[in-house]
Amino acid sequence: MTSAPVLHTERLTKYYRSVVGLDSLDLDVHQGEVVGYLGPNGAGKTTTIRAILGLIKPTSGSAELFGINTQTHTVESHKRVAYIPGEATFWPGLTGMETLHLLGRVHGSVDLAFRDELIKRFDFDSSRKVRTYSKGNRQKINLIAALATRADLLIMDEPTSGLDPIMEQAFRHSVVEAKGRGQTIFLSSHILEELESLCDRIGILRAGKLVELGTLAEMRHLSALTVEATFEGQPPSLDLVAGVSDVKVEGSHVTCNVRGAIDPVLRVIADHHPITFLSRQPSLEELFLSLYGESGHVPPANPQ
Amino acid sequence: MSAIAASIPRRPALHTLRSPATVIGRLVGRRTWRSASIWAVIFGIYTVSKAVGIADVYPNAAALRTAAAQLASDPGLNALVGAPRNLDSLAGMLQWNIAAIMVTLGAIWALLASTKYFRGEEDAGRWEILLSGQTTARGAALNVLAGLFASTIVLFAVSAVLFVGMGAVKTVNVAPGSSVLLAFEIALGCGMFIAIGALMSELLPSRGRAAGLAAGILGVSFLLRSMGDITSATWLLNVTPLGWLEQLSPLTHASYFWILPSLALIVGCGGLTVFFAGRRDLGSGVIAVSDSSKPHTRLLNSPLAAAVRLTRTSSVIWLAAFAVVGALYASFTNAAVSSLAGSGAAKQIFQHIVHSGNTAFARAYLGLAFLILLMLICVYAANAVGAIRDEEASGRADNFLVRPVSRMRWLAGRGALIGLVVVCGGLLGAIGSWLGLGGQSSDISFTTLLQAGVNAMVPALFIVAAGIVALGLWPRHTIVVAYAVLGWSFLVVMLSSGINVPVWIQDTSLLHHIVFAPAAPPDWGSDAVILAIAAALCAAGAVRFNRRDLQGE
Repeated sequence: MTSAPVLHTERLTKYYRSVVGLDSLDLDVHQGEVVGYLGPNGAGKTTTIRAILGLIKPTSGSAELFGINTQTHTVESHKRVAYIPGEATFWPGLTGMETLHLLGRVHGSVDLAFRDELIKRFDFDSSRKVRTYSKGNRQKINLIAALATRADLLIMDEPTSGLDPIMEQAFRHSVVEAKGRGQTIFLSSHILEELESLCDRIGILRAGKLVELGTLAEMRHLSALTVEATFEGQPPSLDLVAGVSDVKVEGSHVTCNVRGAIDPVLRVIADHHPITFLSRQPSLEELFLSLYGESGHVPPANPQ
Repeated sequence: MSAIAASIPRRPALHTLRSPATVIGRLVGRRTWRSASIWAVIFGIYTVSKAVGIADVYPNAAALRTAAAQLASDPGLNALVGAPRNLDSLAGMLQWNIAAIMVTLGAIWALLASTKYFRGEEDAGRWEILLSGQTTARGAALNVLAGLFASTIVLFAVSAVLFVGMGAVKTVNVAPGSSVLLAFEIALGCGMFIAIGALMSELLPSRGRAAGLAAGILGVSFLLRSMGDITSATWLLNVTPLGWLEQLSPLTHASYFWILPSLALIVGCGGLTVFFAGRRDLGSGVIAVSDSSKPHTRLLNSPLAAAVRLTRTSSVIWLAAFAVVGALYASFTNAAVSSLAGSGAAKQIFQHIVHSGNTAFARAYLGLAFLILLMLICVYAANAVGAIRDEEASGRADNFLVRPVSRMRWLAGRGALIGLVVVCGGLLGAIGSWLGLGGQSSDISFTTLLQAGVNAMVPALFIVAAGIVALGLWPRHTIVVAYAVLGWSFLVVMLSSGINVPVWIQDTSLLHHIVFAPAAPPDWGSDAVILAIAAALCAAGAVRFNRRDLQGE
């Protein structure tokens, strides 16, 4: 259980001149995990992945893949890894199949039967020249090329960029399938539903700093419990109940958020004989917004 | 009606921006006027140095007449710079020396800029965001043409001012009107190849193909103009854009008639460009090119093999060009010798350019031919090293570097491939010149030409090294550095042939340290030092490339 992590970073830091791109990232991803990496634009997700892969040089700290330092032994560290970038840039004069062939040969190992299956799964016309592909079709090349390697670690940076909903489903199916085979997946995205449905653990990045990392259940404490109730008449006033906030009353229906103990609000609601009562845990979207504010931007620094 | 109006939220006050319909034209003009100005300044410096140099070498009408009698019958020089007209005047000699070279350089600038803004922007996906604004495809095409022509006007204005200044020099004494017409001739050449590049961009679905075809048209035009100048088929001058410009003869007996076909070509190609822009789909060309094919996986097994596959067509074209240029110029050796051998002035020119000393005239002439070949190989090298950077900037290199491929292996492969083409280019140039020479000169052996070919590779390899150093240190300036080294070296050599340039400035020119064989035996020691420096630069650039962040555009 305490096996060496597949992906390990230690105080990984990247500055672009005086601007922080990534701040002392300590991260471990273990064999067979699907770890999501969440953050708004410019939070440092792509910087993290490019530093891990050795495409950019960290200002300080280190990254290891399978125990191999990615800066000093880049080639060796890439042997068991496949990467899916968010932007697909290929050679316009090659066809899709020629590109897949080239990428497979350069990687060194490909499951050809699986590659053909993926081509069908993603409904990809590999006979056309790359210059004629839409963004989504170019992204399919990245997906097929990476998944067909059956690499031990798949690093994905917004992999469904440009895909339609049906292809997104095909992608999710492929990720579940890969996890079933024991492959490890590091998935950077800001599609919250995608991360919520696929990931064992999720890291949340803010301004280059990893502010949360854990399972969804472990992260629920970040946000309030949502409580909804309907009454025959006017709902009771909940504004002054301990731990309650964001009270919204619409006719006989009330919605509020509850932090901490739920007993006080339960008692008030029960005393007024509700017709319906519903409480639910926060979604990943609500967790994310609780960290970033409704606007999605970084809220002012906490004085604590 | 009023209820609907009331339900529409009131818009906040918007800033009204200036002339949205012309924004593309202004953008293109803003992005091209600097390069146009730089070329104009280079043309100005070149012209001034040549004018002063000619006035120095041919101080009086008698010297000019003697030179004219000898130079007029040299087919090699005629093929290169056009048929001599009115060489018995300084203006005529100056025109013969500079006009064709400047028109050709201007045309290259024009077709590259044109295909970049007409097709390159579309290839990069930046075009559709502009087309989604307050314009149409035809309106946008018209805008790009207007932007490019505006920069051409800047080129015309700056060069005209410099030429008029040159003409005012007492020993040169060229009329202001003639100087302005010379600038107009260059601008007219630019305008024609802007229009040709634009039309090719509409016809073909990628910048590479469009620029290749436009360059091919320029090459054919140059060849037809050369044939018209050196054979009895002078009518060829009437059917090629470069021939029209040559016959314009701005500094001597100007023939304004030849402005008409030039303008007609600009209007015709420009009109067709705008017409086709409105008829084709974005991302496609008027000429249908197959968009699908069966996979051909040969040479798609490694980064190096893929580079060979992806560059093989352009490499073969370059190699063929090296061989043809070598053969073409060598084939005129005897004619050049018979017409120029007795000329002290011609000897002086050759001594200045290729440092031929007292060597046989055939060798001196071939030294000049190999200088042209050498420049061509250097241009290939600068372009090719720029293409390495383009692979990184576009993100295509990432496809290899996120896999088990080291940066060193990738860069070494690309560098070695360029080196191989340079070496083959030097050898093919030598073989071509040997075939072209065809036993015309018994004292120039195949070995001598082979040595000259090897000698011609050296500066090109240095250009590659300069580019690789820039790739490591200032990646976004890779091609600029490569061309700056080449341009500066060429400029210094040309200036040194006309005026006295301080030795320390000459020393900064790469070409100053190269012996233009076979005018004189190659200085293998000097070549070895240059190659050693190039190797050190390559190593330093590669190490720096290995340690820096990969950078996009």
